[in-house]
Amino acid sequence: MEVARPGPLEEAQIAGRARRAWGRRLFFSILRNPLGLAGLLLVLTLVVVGGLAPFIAPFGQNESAGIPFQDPSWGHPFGTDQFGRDIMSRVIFGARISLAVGFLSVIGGTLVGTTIGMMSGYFGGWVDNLIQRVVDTAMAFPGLILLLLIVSVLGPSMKNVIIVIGVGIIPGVSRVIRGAVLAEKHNQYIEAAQATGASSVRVLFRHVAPNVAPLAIVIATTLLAGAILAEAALSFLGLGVPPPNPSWGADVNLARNAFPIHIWWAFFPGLAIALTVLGFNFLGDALRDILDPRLRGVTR
Amino acid sequence: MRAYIVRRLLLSAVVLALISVGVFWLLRLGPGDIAQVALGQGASQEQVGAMREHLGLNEPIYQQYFRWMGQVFRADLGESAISGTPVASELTSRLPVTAELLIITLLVTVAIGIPAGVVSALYRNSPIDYTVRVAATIGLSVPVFWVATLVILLPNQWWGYSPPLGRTVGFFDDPLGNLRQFVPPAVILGTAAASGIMRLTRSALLEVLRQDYIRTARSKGLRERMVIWRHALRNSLVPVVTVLGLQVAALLGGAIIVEQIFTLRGLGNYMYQSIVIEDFAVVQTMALYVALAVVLMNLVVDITYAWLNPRIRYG
Repeated sequence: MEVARPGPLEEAQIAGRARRAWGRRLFFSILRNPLGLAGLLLVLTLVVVGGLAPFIAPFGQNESAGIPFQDPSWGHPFGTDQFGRDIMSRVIFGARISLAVGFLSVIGGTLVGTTIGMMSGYFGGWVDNLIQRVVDTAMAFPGLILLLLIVSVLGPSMKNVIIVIGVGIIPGVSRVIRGAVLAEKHNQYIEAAQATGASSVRVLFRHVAPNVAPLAIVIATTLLAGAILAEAALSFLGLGVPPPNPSWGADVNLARNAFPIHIWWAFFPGLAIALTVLGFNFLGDALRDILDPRLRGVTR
Repeated sequence: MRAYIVRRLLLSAVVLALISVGVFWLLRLGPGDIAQVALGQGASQEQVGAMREHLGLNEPIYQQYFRWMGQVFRADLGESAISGTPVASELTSRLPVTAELLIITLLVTVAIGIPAGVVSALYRNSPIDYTVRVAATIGLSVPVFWVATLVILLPNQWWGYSPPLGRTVGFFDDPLGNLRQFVPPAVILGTAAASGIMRLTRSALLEVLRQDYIRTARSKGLRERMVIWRHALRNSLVPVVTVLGLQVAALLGGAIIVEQIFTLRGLGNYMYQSIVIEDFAVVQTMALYVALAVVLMNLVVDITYAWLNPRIRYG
């Protein structure tokens, strides 16, 4: 009797449908989690504000908009800074810096970290040993000190901050992914792929990668908050995104040293950092609880 | 057990060697010329050349590295290439400052984090639990440097009050002035760190409460208070204490920030200043000793764990 088997094309369609269903389930699970929903809304607001900054902001990011050191008013809802710039406009444009640094560094760091972790776990032996000792080395450093060391060498700029934060998350990511690959690599489908003569590269990227991808995405989400906080701290210390870029951290630092004291200048950019990081933390926690409760506590 | 310790010691040595090479090499990648920095912009070509000779910068890089390693093994901390001050004398004046800051910070962390975590776990999924958890997430999200800045600026604007800034007030000279100086930054750092400890305590306690021996304790009729205090809490605090130990290293990063804002002349401030003026001799030595401290702490934790749990030794 002939049994109708799905051809390769149908298989791909089924897989695609399963993936879409997975995505939809995930989306609705987040909506049912109140904190996750709050986080999602905060993040979406931020993305919209940052994306449409030139259309929303009443003034340019470095435009002299009035008398310096004004308190909040209808004309300047957050007041003006030492140089007469509109603080609200700078906070709005600052969203772009936070998001760009956060996403680019986390995406880059997660991709590299995942690749390294997969190699470490899959090949084992001396490759694994070597990689893990380097990871130990990097992890033996307090995070902020490592970032400061590298950025002091490269020099403060937006590009370098992205590189430094990205490099900073590689060790942690690779360690978690290595563990996942160790658990995965003795499965039959891996042996089957090896038995058909598939190369290591093919097995890794074709068979192992899709199975650790969800984990990598969860890790990346939980790392976003930390990356954004790290950019703010570096910029605050004068070793991040340099002025006159409207980095929130750098603006809090400027306000701290200004005379006379102008609280609003320090208050609003810092509040923006806090809300942004809070949004990503809520979203990251919700995603982690839904997708992989085992990870609780692994990524901060 | 002995084989395990020997293996771990060897690995730690490898890690430290890698760190020393890494830091040394990293700091020399930058474009700046330390001799030029030390002499200032007005220095003549000959002066810079003489300074380079004096600092040994004309030797091949591996010779410079081994000279530094020689110093490290003689426990010679070296001196600043820029001010010429010995690192050792800076450390003796700055270590107590950071130590006091971190001790108060840890006290605050424990005093807030552990009770909050316990309450949260015992009243799981109640309004109290949700409040504590949301508060902890907020604590993890609010930047320390922002809170510290507001804590300096607001009282100053409202009441013209500011903590003693600029110089360090010794505890035994003026206890009140000393505390006015150290408590605000320590409380800020401590509450931020408490958020993480709270989450950890909560999940550790929940994990323990699921164990069979807790059910046994309950079924033999022990009072709930006894079950929690004698059986659950003690066991759940093992991972918490471990993380507290490791957190000291992470707090050094936080110390850089608050020492900067509260103008405390501690180790974090020294590290930061040295990084900013590119004083490599100081930075590489400090970085190596920080790494040494962290590696030793990890080693102690791992060995204690292996001693407590034989499964790790043969893993």
